Amino acid sequence: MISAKLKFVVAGVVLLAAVGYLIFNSVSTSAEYYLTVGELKAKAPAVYSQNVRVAGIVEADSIVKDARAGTLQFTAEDSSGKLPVLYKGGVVPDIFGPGIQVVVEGKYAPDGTFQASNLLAQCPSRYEDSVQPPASGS
Amino acid sequence: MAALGSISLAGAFVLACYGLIAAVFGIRQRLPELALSARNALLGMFALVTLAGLTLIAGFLTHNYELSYVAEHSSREMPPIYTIAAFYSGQQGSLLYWCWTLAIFSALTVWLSWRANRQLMPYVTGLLCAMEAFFLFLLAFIQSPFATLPFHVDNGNGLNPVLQDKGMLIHPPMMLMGYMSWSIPFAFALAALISGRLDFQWLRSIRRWSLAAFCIQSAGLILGAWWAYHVLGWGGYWGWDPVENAAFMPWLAGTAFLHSVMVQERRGMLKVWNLTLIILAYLLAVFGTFIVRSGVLTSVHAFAQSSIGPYFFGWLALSIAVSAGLLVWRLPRLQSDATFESLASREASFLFNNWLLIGVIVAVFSGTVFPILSEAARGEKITVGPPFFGAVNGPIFLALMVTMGIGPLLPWRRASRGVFVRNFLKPLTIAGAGLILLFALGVHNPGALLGYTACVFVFATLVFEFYRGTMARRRVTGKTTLGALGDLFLHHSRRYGGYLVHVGVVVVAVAIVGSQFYQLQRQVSLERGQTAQIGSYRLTFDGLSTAKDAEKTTTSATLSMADGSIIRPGKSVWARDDKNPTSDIVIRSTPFEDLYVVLSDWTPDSSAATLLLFVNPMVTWLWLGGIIVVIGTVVTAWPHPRTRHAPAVVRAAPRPARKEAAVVTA
Repeated sequence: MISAKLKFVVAGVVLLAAVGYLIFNSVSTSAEYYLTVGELKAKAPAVYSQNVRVAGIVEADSIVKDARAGTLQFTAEDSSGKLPVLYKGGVVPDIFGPGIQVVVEGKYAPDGTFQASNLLAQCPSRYEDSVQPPASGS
Repeated sequence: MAALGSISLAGAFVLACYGLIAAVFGIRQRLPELALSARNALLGMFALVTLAGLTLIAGFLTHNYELSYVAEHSSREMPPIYTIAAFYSGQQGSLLYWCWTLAIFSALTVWLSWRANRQLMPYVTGLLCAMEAFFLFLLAFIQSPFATLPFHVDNGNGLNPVLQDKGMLIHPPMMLMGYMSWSIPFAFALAALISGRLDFQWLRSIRRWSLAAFCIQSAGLILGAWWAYHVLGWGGYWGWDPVENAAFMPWLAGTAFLHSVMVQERRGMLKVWNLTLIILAYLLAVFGTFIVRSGVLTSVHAFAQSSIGPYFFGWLALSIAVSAGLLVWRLPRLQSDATFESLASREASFLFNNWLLIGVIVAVFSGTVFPILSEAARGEKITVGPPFFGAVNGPIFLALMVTMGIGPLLPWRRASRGVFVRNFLKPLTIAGAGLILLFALGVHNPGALLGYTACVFVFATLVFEFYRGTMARRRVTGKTTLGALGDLFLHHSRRYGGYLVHVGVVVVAVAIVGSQFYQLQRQVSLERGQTAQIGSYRLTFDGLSTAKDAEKTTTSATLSMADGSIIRPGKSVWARDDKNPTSDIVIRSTPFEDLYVVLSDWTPDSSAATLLLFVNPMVTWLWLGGIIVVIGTVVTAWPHPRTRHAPAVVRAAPRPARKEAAVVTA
């Protein structure tokens, strides 16, 4: 006769192991590097086959939209460099535009463009905008 | 106005500090008058925080742009209702809102529980004052909502158009209140630890408070999902964003607590565990506020980085240290009155439910902070996205569902073979039949098939429970079936209200499984006159139209559907804020699926448009299930008819029994 306590310990260990395995297994299949533009370029060509996330600011005047092809091209830049991005077939957040902080998810292609499969935008400037003095001055 | 607000906050801070000190001395010197004075300080603090809150609201309504917070978050053009909602749209205001709601809850707590809990309440009062003092310190000295602008402006910045939506009126206040409301059970838990009164009294006192917290947070989460779904235009309702995760985790801990607390009430076990869970719920709520506000994680919610992050971190560290220290100190007094006897028992099923919920918390937490951990450990930032959370939590949720079906059917202590057969034969048969039927109907994805079979199983057990209860009640009272069913909710509200929550969870699960496994998504670019198909829907693009009014310019695509009806998804650019257009999403809901259409882009000559099309199965069930969960929680927490009529008797009666239990503990 196995004691009840032992059964509970075994059940707990099994459960713990299962959750641990799930976490470990899922991390190894869905982990993505979160890189700056410079880091991304430094990691090429090893990074070509991997899904990665890159953060950057949308460069002014770089946005080219094609409503017929459903594509969006722009250049993301940060202090470490510039990255041309091609985004196809997905949601473009409403706030997307020049000067907006974006995170793109996808693959870095050998031709130097970033083939994005996901585009996230952030607007830190907007929720907490500081009030500027009136331009005319007084 | 600025002066009035600042002075009330500073005064409230002084009162909170005084309340804390008075409570400590009152307890140490055994001076009831001092404890009473602490209570009065708390009530005075509540009055002053309320004054500060009303002052800020008045500032918004009178467009007092002398206040920089008002100028940053509102403008003259905004409708009054959103002008008031702007109150909690920024950092300082949401802190004040948190502080104010905590003051309201604290005042209610001392008002409602003082007489029933004379021994514990001085401790609770002191702790609530301490928590308020922290927020009031931030508000009065670090991030004042009453800071003034050094120059004059005629109009404010206004509120982000995406926030000027019905959801804004209810989701953020609900969510913040949900975070806040774990403070009350936490205060009681710490009070019990400090005072050493670890009997059943404190548990009973917080039952309604923790149910209230659960209810508010459930509503907040569902409303957040609803808002995201209707406004953001990415076709989903949950994205495992850090801010969502942060809101989800205290809810999970609270849910675990609401279950395992029954084991303690019934059998005097899991005492340390229950204290840990309630402390965990509070810590996770503070952690949530911390990561939302500190900018340590990137999120679509993207609040500005701010100076209060370190303070929250400090508060979090202090709370962890104090709670852990108290728990360890009181460990000798937290011995179990009984032991687990069998894996097939009610208490064991609660324990599994708890382990699984903790598993979800661990998974969500590790996924959320993974970028921080990996950067610290390896110098590389690595993120895990929604696929990670889905892959880990899917199986755990499935196991949780199964536990939810099994648990209520198991008796306390141990189940005999006969009980097993009697209780499980029918639900398992129905689940088996459901599995075959689902497969025959074309549900072949293993995940969806298992998920739906679990839903059928749980639902069947719940139906049998209601059936058995109703029939038994009918035999005893001779009422009609409907009357007997109503009786269950009236006289056994705890049990059957809880079951109602389970029904809601099953309905939510049906929605999640359906929309996760069977969502259709397409991006199409259509020339005028062209037709696109998604699922069983055919949409023909008839052209674009533009409507302009004082506030905004809206461009809409006219799409005619196969059934002859017309839908017009659009995009609005706001006059005051042309950088933040908003989507006018069209959602056509039916009981079993939503057609979800977003106008994404169009050519300058208006001859072609890009549309995002989604077919989201079962999403309506999500809102329905959420409503059932909230109603069920209210039923569970509703005062028992008997306790209302004769409170004195009920309050006095359990005492002797509790004494015995206390003797056993000692």
